[in-house]
Amino acid sequence: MTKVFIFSSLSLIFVGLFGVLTRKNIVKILIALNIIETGINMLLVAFGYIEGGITPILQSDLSIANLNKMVDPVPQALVLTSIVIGLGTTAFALSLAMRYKNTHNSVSIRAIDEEGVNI
Amino acid sequence: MKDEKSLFINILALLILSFMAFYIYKVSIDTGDGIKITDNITPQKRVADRYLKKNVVDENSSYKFGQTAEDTSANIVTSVVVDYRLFDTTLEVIVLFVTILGFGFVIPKDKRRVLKPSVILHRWAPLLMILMFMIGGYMFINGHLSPGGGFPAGAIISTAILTGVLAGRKTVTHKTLKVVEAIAGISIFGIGIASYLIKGVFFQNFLTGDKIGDLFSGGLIPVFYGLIAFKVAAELSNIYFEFYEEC
Amino acid sequence: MNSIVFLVVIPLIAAFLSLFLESLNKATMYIVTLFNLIFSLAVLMSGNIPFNVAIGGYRAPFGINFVVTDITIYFLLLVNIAALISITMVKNIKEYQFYSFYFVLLAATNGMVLTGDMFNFYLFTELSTFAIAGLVAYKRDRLSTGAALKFLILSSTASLFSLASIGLIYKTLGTLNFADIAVKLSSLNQASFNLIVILFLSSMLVELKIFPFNLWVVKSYEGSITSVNMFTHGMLGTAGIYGAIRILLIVFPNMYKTNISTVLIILSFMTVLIGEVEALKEKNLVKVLAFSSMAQMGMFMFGLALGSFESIKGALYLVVSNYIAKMVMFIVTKQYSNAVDSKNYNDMKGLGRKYPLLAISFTIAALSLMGMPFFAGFWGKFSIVVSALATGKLASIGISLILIASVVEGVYYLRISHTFFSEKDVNNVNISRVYCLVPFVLAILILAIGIYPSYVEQVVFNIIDEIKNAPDKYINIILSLK
Repeated sequence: MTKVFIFSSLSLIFVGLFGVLTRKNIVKILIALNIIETGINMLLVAFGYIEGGITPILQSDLSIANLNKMVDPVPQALVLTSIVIGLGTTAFALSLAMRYKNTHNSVSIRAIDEEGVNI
Repeated sequence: MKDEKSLFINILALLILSFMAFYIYKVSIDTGDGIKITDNITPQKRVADRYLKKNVVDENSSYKFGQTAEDTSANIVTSVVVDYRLFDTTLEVIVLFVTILGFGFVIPKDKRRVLKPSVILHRWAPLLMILMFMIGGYMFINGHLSPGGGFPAGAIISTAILTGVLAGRKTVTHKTLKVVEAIAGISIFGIGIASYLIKGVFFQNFLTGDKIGDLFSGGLIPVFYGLIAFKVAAELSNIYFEFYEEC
Repeated sequence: MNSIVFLVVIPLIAAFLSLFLESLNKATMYIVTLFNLIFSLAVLMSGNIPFNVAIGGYRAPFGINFVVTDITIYFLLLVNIAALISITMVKNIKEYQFYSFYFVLLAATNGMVLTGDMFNFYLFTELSTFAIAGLVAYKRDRLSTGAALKFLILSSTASLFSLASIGLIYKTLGTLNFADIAVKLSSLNQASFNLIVILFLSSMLVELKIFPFNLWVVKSYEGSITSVNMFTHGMLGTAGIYGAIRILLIVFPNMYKTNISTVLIILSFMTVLIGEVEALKEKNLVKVLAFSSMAQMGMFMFGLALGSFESIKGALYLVVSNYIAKMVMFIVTKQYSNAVDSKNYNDMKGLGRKYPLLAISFTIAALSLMGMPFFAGFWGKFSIVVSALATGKLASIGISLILIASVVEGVYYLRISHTFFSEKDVNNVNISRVYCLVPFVLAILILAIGIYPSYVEQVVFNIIDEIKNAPDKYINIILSLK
């Protein structure tokens, strides 16, 4: 199972990177960034996964006896943080994109930044 | 493909990416000695082992369900997020704070037309909102026992506020949101400083002695999660207001 | 010394308070910055160094820790002094967001220098990125919006790579602590190690302004106000250099046995070449400074990538000289360009005759960057060239490159200085004489370092000593805490 997770997250990362590298539309670039981020988060969770693992939540003495079968909690904690960072980046970049549209009259990342140039 | 330039860029990107994929493949089939990235490593060989066994401070300690331990949160992901690596979580709150601040700062304030909500939504919104508030509250109060916690709870509470905004029932003002955000943020660091004054260490969990599995366990974890929930809710609601409001 | 955490916590609380303080924000800014500076001075004087603080009471590999060693405290002082000098340039700013961003940036850069945990370092880097992006967008016009957006996209893509690298480190070594990683690294497979280092470097290089990742520098310098330029240069830049020294030299020292250092040398050549050539063409003074700081970082990277202690010493000297000289140049540029309302240096003719103090400071800074003897930058280039002579073929290309770059720097900087002193009637221009004082004091400092380098020599010696004896001076301090 771990291999399936890692393979699919890597393919997500590559799809996203292709988008970031080639697209011109800022909104598309941001979507591609979000795809990479999802891939990375999945990769991190896959790193903590073990075959036949159980959730790291204690419910009774039985689960304490099975501590060795629990999946790694640290990557999940890291992913929780990275999701919030991704949300922040997206919100900030989208508002910048709206401002960009107002000032440049275009959503192309290759629009010229200098003042007084007509597009 | 519209023109030759973008075709060229696409091919270049494909070449770079295939090179990267080939490199990762090469690394993954490498047969040198030492720990490889493809190795199957169980949590027992990592620092996570000590988190699971809750014996970071005292190496020989063990614990039982329903009794006290080093960290009394039943959800071990929560105990990593809000106890062992609490400082990361406080910084994460700051990340959200600074990005939302930047969001409000740069977003263009143009006029937007607000449609009048339908009567059905207007009438039924309070019921929906109460349900959402209840689920959100449950999430952060139970964050140390079950999956959930401050961030999802904040997201759910802010969705309730969004429903209110869409239904034409404005529940809170901008000023209140700002105050809630700042008070919750300052309290998080205030508790950190309080722990410095009490215990001499920043961000230490100084409420100890409760039992794993109880509703009131985990020491400061529910307090932190409550503060985080209110802060996240205030910040996300800010985004909705920013998008919706007529300026 | 648990109270060291106040260096991060106090600015963050100030960031929240700045939402309400309205006109008191500026006073708060000075108070908080002075607090940070005085606190770090007190730590330097207290004689407790080195020490290690476990946040939350969990010891090092398990919890997050702050480490203060010789390297840390010097860079902490550099960051906080840069903050203090930069905020003297802040004038008439009403928006509370500017102050909030500044407080977060102060906390983040202090945290980057203090932290001893990989993921914590990543978070502080992200925080400083967002704060800088917000500050660059401060003018909210065409140039600054484009610059902020491009910086944000570039750095968040790069930081995703470093997140993947942190995940790989955790998967293989099972730890996130710098010292613990350094100890366990020897058991890591060589190919996997290369992959991890390459992924992590990609985000370091954005902050270090090295070639493929440095296109944000020029736009963001051009689009933002002077104080923000000084934040980017003095605070983010210095913290990034600290990260490079700590992570490349102490956490990943195996790097020098692989090809990665060769790749870094080639990238630094490209950076120097592009920076100097573009700076030579440029007429806009701010852009000249941006390209020149790229070139300087390229030389720093060259010294670091050579890997001998002599060259690292040179790289550290370059950091000090670039740090002070760029500060002087930014202040002078701001005063002159405000006076004539243009950033083109050809319009600044004759200002050097009316306000010689500023122009003399600029010239001293320029001579130091060029590496003239008796100026601070000389010792840096001298050490790098000496140690490169002893290394291989690639390094000797670097020598010629550095020497040519010095000549090119001489051409464009002295051309600018000459323009300042050339004759023109400038009676209608007015600059307050008070502002001439700060750059002049800094310029005197450059001369002092160049003529009596013994104090800086001692500091650099301490830093090199820590890098040489990393197990004793860094790793054991952290891991011995039971």
